[in-house]
Amino acid sequence: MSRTATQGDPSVFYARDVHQLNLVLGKFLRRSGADTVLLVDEAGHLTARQGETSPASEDTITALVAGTYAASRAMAQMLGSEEFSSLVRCGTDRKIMILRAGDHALLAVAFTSQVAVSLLRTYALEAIRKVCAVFERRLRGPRDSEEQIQGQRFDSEIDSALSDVFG
Amino acid sequence: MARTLQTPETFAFPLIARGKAFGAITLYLGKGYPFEEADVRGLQAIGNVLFAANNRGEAFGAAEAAVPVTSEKLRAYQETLEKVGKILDELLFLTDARAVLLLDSQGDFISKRGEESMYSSNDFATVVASGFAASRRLAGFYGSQQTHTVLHEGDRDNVFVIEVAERALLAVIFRDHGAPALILRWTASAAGRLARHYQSLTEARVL
Repeated sequence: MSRTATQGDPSVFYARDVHQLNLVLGKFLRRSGADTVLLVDEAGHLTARQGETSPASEDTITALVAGTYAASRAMAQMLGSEEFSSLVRCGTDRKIMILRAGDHALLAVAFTSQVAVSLLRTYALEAIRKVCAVFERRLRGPRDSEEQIQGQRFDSEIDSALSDVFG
Repeated sequence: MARTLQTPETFAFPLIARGKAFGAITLYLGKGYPFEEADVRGLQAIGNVLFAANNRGEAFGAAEAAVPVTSEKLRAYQETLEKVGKILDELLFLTDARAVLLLDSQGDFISKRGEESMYSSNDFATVVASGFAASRRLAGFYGSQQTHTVLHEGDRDNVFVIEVAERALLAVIFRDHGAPALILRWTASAAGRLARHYQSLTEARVL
């Protein structure tokens, strides 16, 4: 479980959700040939990632992804568009594509020039559809007993850690 | 004149600049006119304007260290703006874009061509510049020290942004196009030509 657990809170992800998201992103990475894929919420928090390790602090990368996309979205609103995506070309050999994934998340993909943009976009849209399905299930479905147990174990571990520190 | 106006008082004020008299102003004052300090300052201002007009725009009393805005510099500035405008006009024609914007890195307009609408607003320019600044940092983390570009693709309109000499941004707003790759190439070419005017653009900002 990541972050504070509140049923229906879009910023809360359970172990099963994160596992499913990682499976979707991993499959996307293998099929598309991209180097790295990040699933980031609109505030710039990392939800899931697959592929190469980020060249800098992950928080910085995800914050910049969110910033780039926020500017794109503002442009889209001014131009009267609903959907918008960004393609950043870094010099001649690397590119970063940022797409909206549902209402509250972004998918950022780093890839080399050997990967065809149109093909990558097709795979990315398919991955986004699956990511959105995971989000919907997470918001709708009841938590299973295994996750509740994980939550209780986490709470007890935190309690014991605090006891060790403060006595 | 004094007889015609039937004024009892007449004052002649010399106009002096840089130690030399270059003229005089004669005042015919009405009866009982209270001549005050404010009148003296007003006369000095009139004298400054006359001196500047007589000396091709050179500011009266300007400090020696200040850069004079000479007519030559203004002419160079005008020529640069015309060259920049021509490049933007060509790009607008080639790409059939809705608008072409040349901004500085803070999002202030240097020049613009095309439709006067939301894209020609200051808000839009600011958003373009801020988005580009974030993506520049992002590109830097992925090892790119070269010029980078950003293509924002929407339902109807697309915005392509490219750096010009690391100080300015060239943005092209275009609708669905049969060959978007051509638009990107033409824009990159225009950015290269604009970069050659980089020095002049910088001076233009100073002016």
